[in-house]
Amino acid sequence: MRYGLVIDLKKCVGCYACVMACKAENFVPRNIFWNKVFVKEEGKYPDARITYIPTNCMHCKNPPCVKACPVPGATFKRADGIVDMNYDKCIGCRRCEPACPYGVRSFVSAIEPYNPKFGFTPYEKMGLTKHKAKKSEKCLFCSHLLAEGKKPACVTTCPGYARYVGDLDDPKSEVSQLIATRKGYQMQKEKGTDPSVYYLAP
Amino acid sequence: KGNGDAFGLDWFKTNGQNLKAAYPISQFYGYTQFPNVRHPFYWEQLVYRRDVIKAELVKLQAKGAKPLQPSNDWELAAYHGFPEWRPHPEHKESRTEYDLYAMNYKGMEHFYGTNIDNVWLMEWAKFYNPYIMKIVMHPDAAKAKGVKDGDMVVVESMFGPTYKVEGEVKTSNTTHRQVVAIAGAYGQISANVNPVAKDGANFCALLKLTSEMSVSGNIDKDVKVKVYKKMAKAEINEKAVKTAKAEVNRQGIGGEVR
Repeated sequence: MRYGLVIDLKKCVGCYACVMACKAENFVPRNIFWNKVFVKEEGKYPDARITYIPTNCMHCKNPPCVKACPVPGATFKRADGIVDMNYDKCIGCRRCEPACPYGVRSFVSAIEPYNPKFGFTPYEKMGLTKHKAKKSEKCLFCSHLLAEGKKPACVTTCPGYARYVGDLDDPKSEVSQLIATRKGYQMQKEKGTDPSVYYLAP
Repeated sequence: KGNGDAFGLDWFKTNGQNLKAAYPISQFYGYTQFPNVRHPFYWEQLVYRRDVIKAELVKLQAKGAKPLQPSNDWELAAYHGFPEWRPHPEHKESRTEYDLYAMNYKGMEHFYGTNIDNVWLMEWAKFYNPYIMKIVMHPDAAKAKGVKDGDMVVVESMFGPTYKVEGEVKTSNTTHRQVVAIAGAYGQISANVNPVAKDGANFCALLKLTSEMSVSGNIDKDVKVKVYKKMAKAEINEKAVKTAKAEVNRQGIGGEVR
């Protein structure tokens, strides 16, 4: 079993719903985004075209962040392919940030309310138990939802149905079929990280 | 009761979705005054309304209201029955320095003006969206003005030097050569909005109510502008470094920084 994500760039409309769904589901602190959408512009007017490239943790098979982490167990690879974190063990040395070729690691320097004048909202208070200051964070593939048999928040919220989640080890799974038929590719394959996130060309 | 009440759930179960022509086409043109006319060329009701307004104004004047000034004649002059073409205010602008058209568009995250004070969306728009909080220009237009990506510019409208906005330039081939694109409804000045909505260039600051909108009541949203550089990116960075150094020195952290 190896969880994988397939993102169909043909279907992505750049609505940033995945960005917001991730933020809402995981109580991601201020100034941090686990899920980002990069914008690529090509061509000359009037034939210019914008491609939206959603990016989150690639959950690599050979994760360089795990190798860079000096504390065993702070960032670790699970049997189901998810690169998970133990915030209690993370010492906030930030070595994982330059090690990650995809730039998906974020350092929480401080957990601040969105409006400092009025303090934390009831929603932000709920998130205080899930995040800690001076720790490095990243997408955890909504493993708490997967454990309940649900799909990650970014997948269920996508209005263009551009995201698919499934088992990469199963050749009959939807994700494996999509990768095979639509020639799915990995980002920065030459780095040898073997990411679990595949893209389908626009 | 509306026409739809004649079709209950059973009707839909039998007929499925209402894709068949359930109504005669004439019903879609429900002009009460002109039941047999589909596209009235002459709008009699506007003429009728003009007379009503005129009579009301006469009554008001009899009660001691100020008489209509000649400059206010347009209010009634626009109430006539025939269609007419009026040039947009920017079409009448002949000064060559106002060579670009400012246009407003909506970004995906702030498609509706009401969510501009949503802190999450604003956080995203500010730090990650390359276009939405910037002043977007075609690379050729930017080159002609001597500005580059990241430069701070002033966009001044043809209505005068007080009608202007400032912002950071982002060059993009998605924009026409003659267009300066400013997104959304940012830079809100009301005291009763979330402070995050006050960031960005306020497109409405370029606009002015003109007589062309007297009947429709809508403000004309295209305007001719001129763009000039306020500060280069290098200067902005230099200024930021200087401020940071001054702050460090003020706090006395780690000795003096030069």
